[in-house]
Amino acid sequence: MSKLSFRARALDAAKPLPIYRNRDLPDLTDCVSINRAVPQMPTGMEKEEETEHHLQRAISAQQVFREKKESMVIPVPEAESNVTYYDRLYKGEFRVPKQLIYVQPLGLDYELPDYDMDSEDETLLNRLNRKMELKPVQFETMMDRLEKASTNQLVTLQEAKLLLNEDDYLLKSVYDYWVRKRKNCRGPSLIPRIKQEKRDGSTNNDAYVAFRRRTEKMQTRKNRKNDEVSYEKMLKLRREFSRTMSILEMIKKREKSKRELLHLTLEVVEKRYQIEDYSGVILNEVTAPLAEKPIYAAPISLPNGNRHKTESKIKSHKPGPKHMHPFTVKAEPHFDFVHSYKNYTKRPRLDVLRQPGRPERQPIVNKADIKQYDFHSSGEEEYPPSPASEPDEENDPDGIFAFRRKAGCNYYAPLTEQSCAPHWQQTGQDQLWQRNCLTALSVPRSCTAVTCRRVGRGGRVLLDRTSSDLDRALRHLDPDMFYPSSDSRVPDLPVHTNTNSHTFSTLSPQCSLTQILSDIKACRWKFFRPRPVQENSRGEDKKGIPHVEKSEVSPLSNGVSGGITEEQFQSHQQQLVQMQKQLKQQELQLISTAPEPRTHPPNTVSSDCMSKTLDSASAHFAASAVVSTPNNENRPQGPSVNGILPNSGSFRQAKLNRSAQSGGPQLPVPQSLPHGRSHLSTVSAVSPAHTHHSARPCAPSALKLASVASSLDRVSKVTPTSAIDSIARENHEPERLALNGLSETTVAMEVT
Amino acid sequence: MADLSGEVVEGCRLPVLRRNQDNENEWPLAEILSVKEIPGRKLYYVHYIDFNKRLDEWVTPDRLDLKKLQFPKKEAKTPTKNGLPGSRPSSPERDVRKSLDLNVQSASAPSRGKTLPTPKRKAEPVSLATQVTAATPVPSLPSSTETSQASVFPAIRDSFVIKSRDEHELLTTNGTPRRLIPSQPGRKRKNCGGTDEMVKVFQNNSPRCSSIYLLPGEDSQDSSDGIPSAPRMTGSLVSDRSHDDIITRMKNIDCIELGRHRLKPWYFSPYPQELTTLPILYLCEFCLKYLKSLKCLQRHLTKCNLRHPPGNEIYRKGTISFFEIDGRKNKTYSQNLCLLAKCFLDHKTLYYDTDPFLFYVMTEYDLKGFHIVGYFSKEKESTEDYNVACILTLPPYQRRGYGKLLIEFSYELSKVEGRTGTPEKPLSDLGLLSYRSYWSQTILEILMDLKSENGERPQITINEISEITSVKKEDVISTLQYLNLINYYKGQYILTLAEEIVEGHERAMQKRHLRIDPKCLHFTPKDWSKRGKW
Repeated sequence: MSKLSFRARALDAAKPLPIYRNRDLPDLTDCVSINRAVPQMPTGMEKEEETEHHLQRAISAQQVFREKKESMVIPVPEAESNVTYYDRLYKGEFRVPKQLIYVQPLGLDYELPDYDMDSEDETLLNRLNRKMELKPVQFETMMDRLEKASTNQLVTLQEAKLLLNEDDYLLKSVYDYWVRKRKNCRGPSLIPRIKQEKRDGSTNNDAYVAFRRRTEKMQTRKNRKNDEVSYEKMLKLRREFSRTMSILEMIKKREKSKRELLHLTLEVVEKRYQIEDYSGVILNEVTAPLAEKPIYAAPISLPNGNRHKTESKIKSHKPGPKHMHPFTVKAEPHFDFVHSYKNYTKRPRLDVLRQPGRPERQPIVNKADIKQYDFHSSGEEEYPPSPASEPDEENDPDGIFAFRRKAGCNYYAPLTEQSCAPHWQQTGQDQLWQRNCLTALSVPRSCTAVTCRRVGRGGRVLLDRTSSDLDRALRHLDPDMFYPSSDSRVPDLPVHTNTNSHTFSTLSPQCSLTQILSDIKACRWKFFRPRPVQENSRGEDKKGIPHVEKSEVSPLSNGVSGGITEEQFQSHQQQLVQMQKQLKQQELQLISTAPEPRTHPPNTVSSDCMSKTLDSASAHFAASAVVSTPNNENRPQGPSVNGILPNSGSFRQAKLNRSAQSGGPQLPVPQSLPHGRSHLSTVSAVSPAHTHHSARPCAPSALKLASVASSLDRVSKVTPTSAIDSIARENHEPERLALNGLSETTVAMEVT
Repeated sequence: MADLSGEVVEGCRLPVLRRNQDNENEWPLAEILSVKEIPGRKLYYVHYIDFNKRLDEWVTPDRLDLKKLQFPKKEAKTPTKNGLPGSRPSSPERDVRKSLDLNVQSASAPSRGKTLPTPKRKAEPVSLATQVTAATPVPSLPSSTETSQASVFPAIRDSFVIKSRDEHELLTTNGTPRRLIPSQPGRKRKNCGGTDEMVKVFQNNSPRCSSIYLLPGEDSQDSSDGIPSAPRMTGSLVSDRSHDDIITRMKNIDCIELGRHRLKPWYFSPYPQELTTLPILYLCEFCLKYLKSLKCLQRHLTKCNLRHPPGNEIYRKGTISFFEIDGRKNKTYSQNLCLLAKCFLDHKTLYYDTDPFLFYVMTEYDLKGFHIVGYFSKEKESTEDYNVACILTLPPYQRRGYGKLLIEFSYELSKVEGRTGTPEKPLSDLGLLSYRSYWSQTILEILMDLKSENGERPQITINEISEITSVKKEDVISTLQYLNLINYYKGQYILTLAEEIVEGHERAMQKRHLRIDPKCLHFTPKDWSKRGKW
């Protein structure tokens, strides 16, 4: 036909097309097929499907009949709309608001659990409900938490305990149930979830993986950098919020312990009142052994956003003075809990009769609680474990003496005039005698032991007692035997003998006793005897600080004049300088004699650990001293346990207390009025372990102190050590003086 | 039968009994996609060839016509696509189709095409003779996706292909008195009544253009043939190739309960795998959360207080409302919606997250709340003028005008945005019908409303139609073509309105009650390009 003979022009979308009705164009049929000149538009369907039977049929039908015919419709699988229980399922009615519904863009997720109980759960719930009341939502929350805390590995029961905070029976039953259910579960989780992509690309073809992240960034825009910055900011914000949460959590915990402390204190006071122990003698008797126990500075480390955690490793709890608690701070993998936790039984409320050697309860940061809020966002990189928290002493040249930053502590530049390089910081300390020497104390007299001496904060001399095989022998030793004069100074010329040191352990007490004596007299052993406290303590007594011999009750402190005179200050300073000199001398000597091989490892249980515990020991001391202060007030008797003398802290405290109670008429110490911080921290340093010290005959004052403590308390001071630290550094001159003065009086700490 | 049933393995083809809409039994050819054994018997998952996948189903052995069993020709299929050897039963169908298309394109172009059925019918006489060849292994042929190779062996391929297909048909007709379902549309044409020119024109064109037409972005996917690659990151539909494995070819959910409705899914959807074995998957009607049991749903409903989609209502008229949901801000709901939608959309991909999409959920209100009827998703920024990515009317609401309402709404949004738009491709069969219907009615509405001015014929440009309707120019043209309105008359193109078209349109418009009222739309388009990220 001729229709094909001419070419039609291309269709121009911009050109007007006149519209005709077919009836107006009787000759239209002539040019119908010209249609092909217009390029056909694609249907937009998949080629294969375009030819499907039903579609073609439907299209044809439409072409022919210009409307749908019922039979020509593309068939689809049936759907029913007759769910009979619908009204029971979706209860209630929903009224349309007049306005269009507007949803807040940041619709916070409700706290409701994602987990939905099934009928199996309901059976358990009903069973549990016979014994207790458990709401479904409660149950679901528990399951939800367990489920969300578990990844490939299930959370352990311990972790679950921390996670759920429920009573033991309930927790156990739900946990066991959950474990069983989880094991039977076919899916990866009891809360069905869409499969996530794996980053290695192995899931690229997995049909069940959906909603992958679009890894490739969309077109680069100018403000994309901004986006990343703000994303990181958000991450940071989130981390900080989670830290806040954990801090608050810990505050809660601390406040609880403080309340407990208060109650215990009250109880002690009441008990003492009942047995009329006004002088505190009985208390001292019962608490004496306890005082030997150092409290460990809690290794609390507020995680700096990362999750390295402190772990106190106490594997065995053999009672006995030999036992050292190694302390390691160690980076743990994510979701590990403090294992030692379970080893501890709950402490009896009043453990006055506690035996020495009983393991101390460790203050434990509940990592789970922290973790709960410490969300790990995907974009975040795992922090490398800080080197300081690595426990490998072998590779670390400084070994355990390496400086470890403690959270919550303030660090200041060293005060040079007081600093004295502690000789015990040398390496190769496994020989007992290199570091330790025999020591006698004037208060109490009997205390002769192998100790290690070091200079504590503020120039105090601390003696850390080490247990050794000699202990039994030394018990019989009278310190005055070789130094009859109590005024005589320490010989401070340590001479090392090693000839027979390694045989000590085999010697009989008698034998060793004489041997020791002779050794000492021949200056073959270092022997240290602190300068007796007379002058100092007499002086202090006048100022209201009771100096106490264990046996006698000194009434002096009642009529006291306050303040520290210039004289006293001077003398303290001098004494301090003298001591430092001596120490240095000693040290030099030590170094010079060091090459001699020492072969006396009486206690191979790492003596290294001592240095760790020392710190806490001093903390213990400080804290107990602080706590003991109220005694000064109504009772002249300060408990001096094993030579612990009330220190400046107590002094200060006494003053404060007095001024608080009586307007401070006797004590004109304006300059030494402790400024808030140190006071606060002092009070907050009180730890439950020392309640026996703070026993006061007068309950109201105890209450007062406690209330002061709780009302003024600050957040950050967690460890007694840090509290003392802050005192030492921040106090005004007189206070430091007091501390320094204290250093003259040697304080022996027994390390168990 | 029992002895034979053991031989029915994946990839086999044979006639399977099926009941059609008129409740008649048919025996269309089907391919076995999977075999599973449940206590007591075997079940076969069959795909009816030339029927949509949504009709695929598990059948019992008694519905198989084992006498006409065709075994898979593995050798011909060995170069599998997507690097998934053996993961998919051999299905020559695809290759067949492709080579056929190629053939048709080259062969039928000069001789006003008989299209698809043509070569088949030609081949029919041959097929009986070549029956043996079909059963014996055929030398492996390269995958026909490479056009160059296909053109090298056109003859071999076509003849083989045709033989293997038609041999079966012949057998059926010869061997049994059963009614044979014509698997080719061409046969149907006769049933539909004679040599209607329009039908012929359409059929002539469709296969040809489909082989010419390439989806934007499709070539890149094609080029990486054999290497599993991630789909393109824009859009939400995927061309058939990339999810060409056996898992996604099979429905995995038996039944979904959604509010009052029980839905039979049509296609695979990646709900958590442990839920796919359930007889019924329960969805919360309002938040679309998936739950494994009624008890769980019950518990969930005590906690879920949604009574409408969790987005802003941007349109309300009568009981119909539209809610806009941001795929980035409301991920959970968007994902749940996508999972549900995937059950009914074959080409929808859930490969990537929902961030770059907005979801417009159409609801119908009653005292219980705003019940989801359908939805469409839309890219926040489309590089290809797409104003709809996926669009779905839930099955219980289908064929009641809601689909057209959704489409109309999508164009209303485009009108507010001041741009034209088109749905993302590929369209499904139902999508094509719906869109064509909407376009036809929209365009006819305009054309018939045009009044002549000062005695002259009313006239309009395609651009004008496009601007008024926000329908993309190409879609306007294809609709005009499809309706056969465009004609070349006396040296110029004209639009002609045939009587039956006018009448048909008027009848259809009378039935079309549901309309979008632009006055009820409260929508301010956002310029997503200025927001950095969607």
